[in-house]
Amino acid sequence: MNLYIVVPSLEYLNQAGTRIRYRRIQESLQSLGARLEMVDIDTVSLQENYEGDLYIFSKCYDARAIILAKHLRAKGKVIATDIFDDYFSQVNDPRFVRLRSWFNQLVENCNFVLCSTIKMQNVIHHFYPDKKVHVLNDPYLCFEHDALAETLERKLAAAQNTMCIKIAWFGMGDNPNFKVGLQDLVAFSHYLEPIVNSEFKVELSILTNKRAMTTENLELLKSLPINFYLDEWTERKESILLEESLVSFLPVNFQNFSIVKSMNRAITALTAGTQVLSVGDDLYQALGEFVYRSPNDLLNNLRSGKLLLSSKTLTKLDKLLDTLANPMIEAQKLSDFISQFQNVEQKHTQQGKFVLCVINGKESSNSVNQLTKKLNGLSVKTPFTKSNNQFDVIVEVINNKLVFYVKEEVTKLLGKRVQGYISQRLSINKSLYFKVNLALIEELNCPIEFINFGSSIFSDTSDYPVIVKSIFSILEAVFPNSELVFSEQSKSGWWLS
Amino acid sequence: MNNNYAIFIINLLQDINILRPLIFMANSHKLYTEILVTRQFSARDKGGSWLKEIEEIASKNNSIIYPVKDDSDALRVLNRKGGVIYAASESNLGAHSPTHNILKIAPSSFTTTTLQHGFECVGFLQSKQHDIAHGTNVEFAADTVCGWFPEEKMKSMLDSQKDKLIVTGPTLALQNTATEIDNEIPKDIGLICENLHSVRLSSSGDLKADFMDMFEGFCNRISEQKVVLRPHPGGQYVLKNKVKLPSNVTLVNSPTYKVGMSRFAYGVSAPSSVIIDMLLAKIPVAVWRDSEAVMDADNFAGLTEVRSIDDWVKFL
Repeated sequence: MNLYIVVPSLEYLNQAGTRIRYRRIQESLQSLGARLEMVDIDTVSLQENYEGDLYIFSKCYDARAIILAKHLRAKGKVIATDIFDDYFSQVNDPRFVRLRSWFNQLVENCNFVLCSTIKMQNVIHHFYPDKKVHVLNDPYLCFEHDALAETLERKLAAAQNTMCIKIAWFGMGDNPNFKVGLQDLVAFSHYLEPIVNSEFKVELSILTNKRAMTTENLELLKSLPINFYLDEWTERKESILLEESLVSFLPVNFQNFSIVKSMNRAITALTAGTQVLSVGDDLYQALGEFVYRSPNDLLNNLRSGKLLLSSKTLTKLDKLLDTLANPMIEAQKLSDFISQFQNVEQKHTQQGKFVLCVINGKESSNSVNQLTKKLNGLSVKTPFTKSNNQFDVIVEVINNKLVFYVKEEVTKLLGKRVQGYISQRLSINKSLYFKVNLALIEELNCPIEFINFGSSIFSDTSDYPVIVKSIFSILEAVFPNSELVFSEQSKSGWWLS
Repeated sequence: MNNNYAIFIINLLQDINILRPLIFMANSHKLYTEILVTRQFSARDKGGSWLKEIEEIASKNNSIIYPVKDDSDALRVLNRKGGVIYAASESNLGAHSPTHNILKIAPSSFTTTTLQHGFECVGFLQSKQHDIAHGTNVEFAADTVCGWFPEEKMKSMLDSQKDKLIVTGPTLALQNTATEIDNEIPKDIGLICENLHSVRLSSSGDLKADFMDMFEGFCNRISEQKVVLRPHPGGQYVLKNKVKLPSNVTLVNSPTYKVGMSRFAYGVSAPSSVIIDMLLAKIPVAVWRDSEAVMDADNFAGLTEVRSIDDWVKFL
């Protein structure tokens, strides 16, 4: 089976998420006869022959994923999406309406959903109880028992001899939507105080992404109870830091976004030979006996020379990680899971059987439009669309009523009867369009009159969901066998009922 | 950790003049001197002549120069060090944000200090035009601020900032170290300083033309004599705007510490700290004001005012 992981852009191919989650199982999958490749969404859409059997969309948070999923399904491909960030359970947060709408549309076209934790699986099942969801744990890079045993002994001896505890904090320091990362480090830093006040010297090193190093965050770091060394994260610097550190400090806050995260940070820390001190949410509960929840326990164990992770406990950790992060085992479980879809009969099996209509909301990217065109879909401009692109269908509100224009070459896709309702031809942006008289479509059972439209931002906001719904109804009425995709990236207050 | 560092942040071109004596002083006290040069400074220093000045200062004081793109760059320089950080222009105003932010994020192993960089200076003592342009709520991120006068004379200092004040006087008073006066600069003639970029000449209407007209008229009236015109190091108005100057005017653009103010016969300037420089150099000084006296010069009360071409000529 050929698996394609579809990421939003070329840059994502080298990001930590891709590196940890997919590259680490690539080899194991190969040995099981499954080929895993990673490719950016624009490259996939340019392929002439779609060679994959299974396409898994990862972090492709715009309508391109939905469009391509529909297209690939029609070609008999198995479709999935990998969800490892919870942007969906914050139902009171309007910033995520667009993502909930995106997920809702994508999941309909997926044979299954992949995720990285049981808790994330629970979130998905809460919204889609019948959807098949597979938990693919983030696997570790390597587990070298002997080298690790040596590292652990060296670190213990060094800490006891120099009376110095080297603490590491590493990873993404921010998130565009939530207060996480460096803010967690500062918020939970009082847990470091017993260590700072102990007989040991303490050195804290922080490796994080450049974007997180805002004045606000850096100023916050000043309130840490110890001096620190800060540097920009790279894979290499992380591995050097963990090689030198006795402890990784992993605070986790309690918001929905944080409590469903994968355990990869703790697993990276343990398999690199650092102790883990985790405070806040007990995200790493499954690693229980290898995770310190109290700094005093860590101090006491250091004094007695019996740290939780030591050359003596490594075999136990190895065994535990088999169930949580072993790349071979994770690959095997994934392979077993996806085998059920090998001969699946898809909803659409022939290309061209449906008319793909992509409805552009307030903000919809050019790349969505380009993909629509590439797949011979129809791009639809709503009265809210800001873009000046060429659209195949234009819906406007004129004299309080919805008016529906189709481009000349699109008229052939209209239902036979609807072609008879064309009432006017006119030029818009130097292209020829035809107006369809909506009043003549008998089966149309949706509002097309909006008396307050355009009078204020308030009326437009309240009209928004109704107009969009009407456009859905109109498209379904005029184009037989239409498949509709809604593309909206705006974060401003809007909703679809 | 080594706490013997004296770090200097240079963001505006004119910061160099203010910080220079302290860099020499810090070096003579056996501190490690390091100079952070902001990205914005490099953008302002188009010809690179001010960077040469910094390099000259650094070479005389064994200082390391760090160009810093942003806060995190600066923090990497400050990591695992301690001592004192000096900023010559720092406040919550937009133009000062690079230094303001560095002082905000500086590790607590450093004491941070902002220097009053001029006689009239935002957050310390402002003119009416400063108030109009910048408001009256100017704050510092620094732990301490070094001012020229005691609290009661700092009319623009917020109460919340007064506890930070240490009265040190201007660093100009320390400007006695290894200064190489540029002997090419003419002497025994008048020095006119322009600060046409200053909010003093734009916040209450455009007074720039008024200054230039009067300056030109003055030059024409004394056409037999030469005068030196010195643009403000940070403003450089006559150069940037390619202002055509009368034939008896020589332009001098050297840093203050290389000019040697005492070489001049007299000095005229709109309200500006350069007036204090000239006073300290013990040359006769007049304060220029627009003919309608719109520009606030109250802080310079007591000095001769020139408000017309006749006034200028009479002052000679």
